[in-house]
Amino acid sequence: MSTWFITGASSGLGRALTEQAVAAGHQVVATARDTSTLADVAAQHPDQVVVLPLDVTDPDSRTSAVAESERRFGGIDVLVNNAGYGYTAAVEEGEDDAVSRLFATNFFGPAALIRAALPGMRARGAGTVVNISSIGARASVPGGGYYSAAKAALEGLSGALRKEVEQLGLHVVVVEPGSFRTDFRGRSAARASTTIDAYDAVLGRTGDKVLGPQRGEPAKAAAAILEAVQATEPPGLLVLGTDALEGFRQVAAAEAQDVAAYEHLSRSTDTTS
Amino acid sequence: MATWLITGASSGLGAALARAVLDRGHNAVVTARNPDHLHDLVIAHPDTALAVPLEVGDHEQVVAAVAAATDRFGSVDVLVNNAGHGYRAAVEEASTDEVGELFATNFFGPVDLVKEVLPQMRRRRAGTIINVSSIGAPRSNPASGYYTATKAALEGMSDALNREVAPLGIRVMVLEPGAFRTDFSGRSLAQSETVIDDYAETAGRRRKENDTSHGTQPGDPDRAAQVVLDTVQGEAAPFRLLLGSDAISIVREELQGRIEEIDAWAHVSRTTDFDGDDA
Repeated sequence: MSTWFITGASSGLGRALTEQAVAAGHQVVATARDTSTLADVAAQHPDQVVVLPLDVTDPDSRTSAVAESERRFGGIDVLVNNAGYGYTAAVEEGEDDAVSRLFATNFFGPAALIRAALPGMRARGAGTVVNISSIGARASVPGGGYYSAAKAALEGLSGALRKEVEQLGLHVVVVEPGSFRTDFRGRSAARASTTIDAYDAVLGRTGDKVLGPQRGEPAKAAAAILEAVQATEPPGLLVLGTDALEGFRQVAAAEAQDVAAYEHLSRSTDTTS
Repeated sequence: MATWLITGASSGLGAALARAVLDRGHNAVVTARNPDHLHDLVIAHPDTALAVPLEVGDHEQVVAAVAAATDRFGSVDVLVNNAGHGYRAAVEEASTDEVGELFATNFFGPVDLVKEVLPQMRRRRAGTIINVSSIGAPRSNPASGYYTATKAALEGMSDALNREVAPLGIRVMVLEPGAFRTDFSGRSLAQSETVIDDYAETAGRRRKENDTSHGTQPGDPDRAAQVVLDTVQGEAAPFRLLLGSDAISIVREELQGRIEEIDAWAHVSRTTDFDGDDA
């Protein structure tokens, strides 16, 4: 049994993960900005679940949530940085305030929570940080530049973190979901309020853009994450969904091809060549 | 003849690129936090070089720099977001202020410049944006988490940007230099004020490495500048261009490592789709 601290636990993947961690016998600190939808889980499992309001962008809110977790359950064993949302805007359309908010929620908040949880994990010589990224960190789409940037930043940070904490007995798992049937396209999506006509076509704002069905089932994603965290050797990178797996392989293959195609140029910049 | 705007042109790759651009007869608007360091370039090329003070995280200065370039030479044809610096800190050792400053210089500043030059590039249906990333974007090392985060963010943004502006005739490139003989490991490298003993063997070791590696890097900035110039003037250009044989090895290792990593868990990755009829 371990204690999980899950952000964005009120819906989607965070909610599914909360339910399954509880079902597996773990203690869960379920956090969200609006905790009203979590009342049922807390009522059903009063000894196992603590629901806390948390705005990941607010330093005081973070400090008190981490302190309360330690008081109630003795510490955080698994930190799941799941809270986050999308923002659709051409790069040129990006609004300073909106981009700042996006980075505060999707990158700076998670980074600060990691810093807050690490002292306890180091003291116990055990712990796992799970950062929920997106396949969008690896392959961006028109309109997805800022979202991809924030997720790629989170993954870059995670890479260094893993190399820093593995010798201390801690694990870091990056999760890259493909498209899941959650609220991500609804409530979790923001967009530029002022648009530039020149980008309408490439962002698909002309006519009704039909999005394909989301192939992923949140409950199954939660089960996969639970399996990864509980493994003797958790994976550093866990891709979720056949769409993400396919996309990942395509991007890697294309990148390898580009490296080879321009290898002669790349090598010509060495001092000794 | 084209007009280039190169940030961080007072040293390293930026300075080498500025010299190469000016030597080939192009105009160069060269920027640095302290424009005194750009004096030599302007003396050598009084008609084609313009020095502008620019702290890339300062919006007023970004607007002024692009306006100065456009006033003097009529346009900015090639923007090179080269200014940036490193920051050595274990993830836990960082402070909010230090990280905020790093992101302002390495990510938000470059984005601001991109937004500032795009309207005129769109009008002309021409232009090139070059964002200088680092081999540290695909490979994050201990103590470099936040630096990697800024460069990975720059690349993620550039990927979308490239898809957005290619139909408008504008080209976007990302450069991933390996280790070059520049001042990067010296003057351009900040460190966190906080040091935690538990990271002595990881992040701490890299703080010290930094003291000894400076001056022995394999990459030649002047050769890199020629390659960049040739590529921009050529017909075909990759979105991402690696600079240095060390960069090639690192990217290949990373790609290989990631594929092995996802293959090992692919059986789990495939279990999360809805069953047949649901999808």
